[in-house]
Amino acid sequence: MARLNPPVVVTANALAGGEVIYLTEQQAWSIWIDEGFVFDDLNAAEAAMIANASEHDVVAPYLMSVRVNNGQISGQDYREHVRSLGPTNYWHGKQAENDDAPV
Amino acid sequence: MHRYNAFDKAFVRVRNQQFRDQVRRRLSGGLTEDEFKPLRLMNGVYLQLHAYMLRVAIPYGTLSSRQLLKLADIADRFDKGYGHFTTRQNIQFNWPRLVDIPDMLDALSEVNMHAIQTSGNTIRNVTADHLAGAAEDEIEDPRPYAELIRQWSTDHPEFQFLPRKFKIAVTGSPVDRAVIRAHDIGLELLRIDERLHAKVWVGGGLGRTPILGEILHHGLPIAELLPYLEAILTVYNLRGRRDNKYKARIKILVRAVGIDTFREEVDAAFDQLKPTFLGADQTLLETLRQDFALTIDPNADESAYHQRLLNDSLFRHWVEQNVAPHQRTELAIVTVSLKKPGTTPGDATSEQMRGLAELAEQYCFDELRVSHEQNVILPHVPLGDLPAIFDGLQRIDLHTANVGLISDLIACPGMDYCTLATARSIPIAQQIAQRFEALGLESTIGAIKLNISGCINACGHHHVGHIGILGLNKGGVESYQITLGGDASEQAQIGEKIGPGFGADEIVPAVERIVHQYMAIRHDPSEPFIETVRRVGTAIFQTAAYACTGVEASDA
Repeated sequence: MARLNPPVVVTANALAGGEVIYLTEQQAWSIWIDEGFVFDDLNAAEAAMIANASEHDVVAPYLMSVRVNNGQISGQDYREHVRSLGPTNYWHGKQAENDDAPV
Repeated sequence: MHRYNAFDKAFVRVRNQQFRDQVRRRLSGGLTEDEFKPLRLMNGVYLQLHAYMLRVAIPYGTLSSRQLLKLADIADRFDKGYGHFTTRQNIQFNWPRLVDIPDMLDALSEVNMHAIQTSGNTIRNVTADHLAGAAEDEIEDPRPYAELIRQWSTDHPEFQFLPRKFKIAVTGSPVDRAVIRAHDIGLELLRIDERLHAKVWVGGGLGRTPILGEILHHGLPIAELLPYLEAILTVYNLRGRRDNKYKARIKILVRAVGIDTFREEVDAAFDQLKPTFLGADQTLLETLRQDFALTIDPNADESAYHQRLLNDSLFRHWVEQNVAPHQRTELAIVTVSLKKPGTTPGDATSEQMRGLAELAEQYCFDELRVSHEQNVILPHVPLGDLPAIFDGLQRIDLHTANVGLISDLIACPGMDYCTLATARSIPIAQQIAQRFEALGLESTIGAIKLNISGCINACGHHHVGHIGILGLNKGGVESYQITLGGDASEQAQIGEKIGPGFGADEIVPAVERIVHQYMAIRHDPSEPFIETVRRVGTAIFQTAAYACTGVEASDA
């Protein structure tokens, strides 16, 4: 796991379906990283994760470091970039719906 | 083939019911993730990078047409229309929803399949030579023994919480196609004074500490197989470390105490355990031998085969590359490559699975195999039916004639799917295969094994590839380290690291330079890559690999 540097978003997997999800500003979960709420304060992010990562809905929550460019959020680590979009060998992850391939 | 009896069916049905209830309780909040995780792992359910993953066992790599058809249906109903065959003779579905997995397991049970013990610290799916029962060089079909071990180890009450996972491989040939020395226990069936014995290797494994197994017993009478295995597991269960998962495999224990001390402890345990085996295992073994006996009456008309050989160079090339002799001269072994350059090694679509199942049903006595090299085998094809097989494979785009060549490479799922991975494997595999296809050099290069892993856990067996590639994360960037001289065969060898890693855009040219160096210095085209490496060492390849990179070989 890469070192955690702010800014960060809270991520997890949906319990029932397993989809990669991100905590939004409205404290809901979205499958789109660009809808994730960006925290500059690690303590606030940690608190939001604990408050929202219900055992009933999500699994394996953690904080991930991100970059924000023109409102677009991407993982600082390449692993998170792939995780947010889908695998690079098939065009059938989220990139298929988002028209954006990991490169 | 072995078929489930009423006991087996009831066992799997009850286990599936238990797991369905565990999933229900997890979803309703009755179980926390900490409580649920070991339960799902014991049923082959992982949480991977994008989704859950279900790993299904294909015991000793043997499948019927009906089973493969069911896997195709599962791929369509619950996944994205494909499955991934792994280096442990399993198939993995990368996109199931947790809520659907109980239904997937029920579907599997309809064809006598399950995912039990494909994860967790248990005895995993027992693997075997994928040419079992067919290979020309075989002394004994290993599958009855692998099935005996599978039945003994499945839900064995003492071995459900071992210090770490435990892998057993069996071969019945002196030519090792099952990588037995890279397993916790490797078994080689052989005859001593015409009686069947097993040479027992212990303490092999790859991962972060690659070690080749050592000989624990040179010739174990086959009737003593299960008590001896139980003795090994008993010693490991008591003595294996549980304080550090990286030092918990049996290879660490064997190395720590030494093979002689380990043998003494196993022998002492064996003396205690042997009287408790009262013969039921031997009765079962006799039945299993009959289950796996090849009792077929093939089509004897070979004229279509000989005629096609004369008239069709593509067919002839495919036969030369992908077809091997069978122990019965009227049959042949077909290896179906799942490595068409540009595709994902080991992946098969549901359409391809159905096509393969139909071919096996029509021309291969309803039997298929999957290999640890991530290909599918049609083990018993009458020579006269080879043209029909080739035509059928063309229809499903599985006629690539590259078995044993550089594009027939092994690759783990890597960072495209695996949560443990530190770099991607699949795109590198695709680029290497496409590059050498474009060069048109594959046949000229000849036999070579190239293995890629996306992390040090080594699911791509990179340590035993003639060329091994290990993907790492260096400061957030993918970096690929090369090892040379590894060997998965009966001349097993751990490859030698040649130096610092290459970037994702540098690794393919580096491999190409190594291969060109080999072609420049080999005695003649009949000297395979691995023989040249053994003859000249790795230094000359190291120099070639780092040429043009600015890295001096001496830095490597």
